[in-house]
Amino acid sequence: MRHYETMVVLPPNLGEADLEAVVSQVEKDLLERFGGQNLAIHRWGKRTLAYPIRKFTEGYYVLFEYDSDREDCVAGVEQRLRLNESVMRYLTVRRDEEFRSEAKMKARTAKRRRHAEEEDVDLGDTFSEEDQDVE
Amino acid sequence: MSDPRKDAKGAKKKRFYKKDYLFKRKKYCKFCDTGVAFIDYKDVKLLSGYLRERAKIVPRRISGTCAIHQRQLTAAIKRARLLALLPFTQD
Repeated sequence: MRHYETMVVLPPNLGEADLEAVVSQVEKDLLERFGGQNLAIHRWGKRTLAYPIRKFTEGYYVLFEYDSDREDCVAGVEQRLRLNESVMRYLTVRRDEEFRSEAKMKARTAKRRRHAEEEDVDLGDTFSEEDQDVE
Repeated sequence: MSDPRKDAKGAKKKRFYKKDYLFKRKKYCKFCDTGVAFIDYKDVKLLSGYLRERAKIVPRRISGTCAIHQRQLTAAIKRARLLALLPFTQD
C-alpha cells in the first residue's frame, strides 16, 4: 500500500459549484476507478499565486491524501487532471518513503546527540586541568 | 636582494588572516538540530526562509545546512515552485 498526496490548483473565477464538481470528479476517480482508500480532502481555499498563471493572480488549492495498491493509480488520476481544462496545476507526491526515512533520521540525530554529549564531557576535563595549572 | 616578504629591518612581515580579526560563528544545520526527518514542500513559511531576494535557493555554504537536508530542501522548493507556492524568480 502506497501513500500519495495530490495537490490541485484551480482558477479563482471558478464558481462554488464548478469547484465542487472538479473535487468530486477527482474523488470519484480515486475511489471508484483507481482503488484509492482512506481519502482525505483538504481545501486550502483561495491563495495568492507566487507568479501569474493564465493571467490569474489567485488560485484555489485542494489537497487529496490517499492510499492505493494500484500501479496505474497516479498515472490514471494525473491523466484525468490533464484532460480537465479548469485544472491549472497538479502535483502528486508519494509520501510513504518519507515516513520510512523518518526512522532513519531519528536514529541519526540520536547518534549525533550522543557524540555531542561525549565531546562535552571531554571539554569539561580539559577545562578542569587548566584550572589546576593556574592554581 | 630584497625579499618582498620582509620589511626594512629584515623581520618577517605578519600576514593578515581573516581569522585574526573576524569572529566567526559556527554554522550548523538547523534541520539536524531539531531532527527534521523530511522537509515538506507545503511548508511555504519555512522554505521561503531559504530563498534570496531574487528567489534563488540559498547555498549550503551560506546557510550551513547539511548535505542530506539541503538536497531535501532543494527538492521541496522546486516542488513548491511548480504549484506557484513559491516564485521561480523575483524582479
